[in-house]
Amino acid sequence: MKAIQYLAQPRFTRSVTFTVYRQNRQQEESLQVNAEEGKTLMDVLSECKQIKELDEFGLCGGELSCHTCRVHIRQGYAKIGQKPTVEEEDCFSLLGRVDYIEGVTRMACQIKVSKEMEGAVIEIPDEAFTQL
Amino acid sequence: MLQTFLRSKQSLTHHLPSRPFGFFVAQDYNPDFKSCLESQHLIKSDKDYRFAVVGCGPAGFYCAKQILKNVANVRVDIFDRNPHPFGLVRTGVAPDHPEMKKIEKDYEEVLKDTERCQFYGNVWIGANGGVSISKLKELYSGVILAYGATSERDLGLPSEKSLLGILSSRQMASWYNGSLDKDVLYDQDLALEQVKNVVIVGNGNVAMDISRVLMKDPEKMAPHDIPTPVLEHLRKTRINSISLVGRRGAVQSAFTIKEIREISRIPDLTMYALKQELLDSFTEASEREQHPDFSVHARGIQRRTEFIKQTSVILENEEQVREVVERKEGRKFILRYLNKPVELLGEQRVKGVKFERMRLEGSAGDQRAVAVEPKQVTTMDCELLIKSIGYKSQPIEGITFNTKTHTVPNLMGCVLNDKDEPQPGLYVAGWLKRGPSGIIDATLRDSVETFRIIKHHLDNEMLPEKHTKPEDVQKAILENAANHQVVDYGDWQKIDAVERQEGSSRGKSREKILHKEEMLSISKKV
Repeated sequence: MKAIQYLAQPRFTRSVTFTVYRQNRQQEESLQVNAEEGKTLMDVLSECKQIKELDEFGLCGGELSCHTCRVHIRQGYAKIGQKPTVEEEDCFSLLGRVDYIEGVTRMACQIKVSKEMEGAVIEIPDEAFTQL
Repeated sequence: MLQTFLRSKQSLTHHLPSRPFGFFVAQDYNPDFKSCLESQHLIKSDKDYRFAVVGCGPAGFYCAKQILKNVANVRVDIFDRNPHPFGLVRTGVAPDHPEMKKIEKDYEEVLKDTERCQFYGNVWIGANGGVSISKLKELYSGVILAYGATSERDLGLPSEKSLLGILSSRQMASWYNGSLDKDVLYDQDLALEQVKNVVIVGNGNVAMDISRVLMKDPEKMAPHDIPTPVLEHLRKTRINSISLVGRRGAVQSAFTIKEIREISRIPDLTMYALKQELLDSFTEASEREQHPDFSVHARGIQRRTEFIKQTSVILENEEQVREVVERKEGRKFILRYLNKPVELLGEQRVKGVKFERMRLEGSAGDQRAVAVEPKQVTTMDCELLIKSIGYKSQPIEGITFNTKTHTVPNLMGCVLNDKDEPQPGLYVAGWLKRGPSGIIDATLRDSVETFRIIKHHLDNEMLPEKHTKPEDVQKAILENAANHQVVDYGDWQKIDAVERQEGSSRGKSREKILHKEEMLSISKKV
């Protein structure tokens, strides 16, 4: 019985790859990030060790109470399964015109990684990083 | 191209466990992502530094975190007048917004490293028997003032201080959050059982927090950390109406759209606005403030104004307001604009407020409220008046203070003396630095700015080396009259455990201890 239970455990969880870079540093610092399907984009980016100094990001933990997890989806915007709810749009209202680009900007906490997002290109705004 | 890709692929994945077919999943990354990450800006010097932070709210905490992350040989001591850390995260954030308290996990990460960071709770700094700033300067390479705002702006009207039933938004938040300050006399002053109609002067997000707490079903807030005695009072409360009064127009509303939307969704509550007040809000200049070309925030402002116009039931005049307020069924949330309070009515307890009607003057971005001529006066009846016009900081002896803005004069966080000269070694962060507005993300950014100038001074060897030991600090604290018992992080964890356990037995995240003596006695137990 135990052996069957062991064998029945999933060995691989599906992984999706996309490109991530910090605003204006696309040339030098693009990363290939592997993400588990179903995780929020905010969690994936926060937990990625390769992305340094991402401190001003996701401060409210994904409740749409702040605006710090905004990212620009430079490629693959249309493939994101979750369309913005009115609450997410309320967050956009808090972003100035420079930070919010219609059809490009999304709150990372509202996006769940899916296989359709394979190959997406994500830009994290400068303001999400600790600037010293 | 391929070579670069392969090289980068190697460097990205060499530390990960190897898996068949090259699949790597997010959980292979170390989940303890916050620890052991050395900042790329690490200041490594042979010198020993010590920093004191006055105030353990988010501003002080973020400064401490930046210093610990970026300076190699350092200890940071954080002082707070309360036996608990967290500042307004504990006593300001509304109990139905627990997500804003996520920062508490951050605190744990930093404060548990007692080798480099010490929490000194229940310590008074400043005049009246506290540790003096000059003593702190003796012991520390740098002192960061981040003690926030413990007072409020006044309306400046006669009887404001003598009439019962007039509280500030800070006092309300202190009350429903179980602050140890105890500056609200519930039975005489707040006495919610007597209150049917509330007037709130000021329409920022704190005013919205208070409105929600008064109107929301208490059972919805019960599982969080709202103190049980507060819940019991709220269960007996039957507020009929809240009038939220702004001096300027709808375009200048200080609340965010998220807050007003949340209010509009409270069951059995209808939102109202007055036709003429809305019309008069849309001067040409105010319309311009909503135009996308005017400012980066215009789009958000316009969305908020649209929401107000579309969601409010529009009332024609004051008689209709009275008629609606007098209805027995349903609760009423009335958005008032272009009204300034000029007189408080009542003998022992407030029973109403007289407002003077305003109109808007000035250019876009600088719209000011000016009284209409001839004078138009409206009386709004209430048994509770809440002033929500801003918190206010207090000065501390030895440090210059701007008595107009109620902030400490500074240059990017370095305190200025009365000749406007920066004082390396003296710093300020948070509301004390930039004024009492903005929430955690603004505070984080602000603390980073203050750290930037500290770093500049460290890089240029402008701060004295110090070797102060914890014993020296304890001695300095206890030799002052006001300080008897220091609460360290371990003591706070004991208090925290009791609060959580008590909360757990009542189906809540925490049952806050409401009396300082009780907290102190728990922290003394072995």
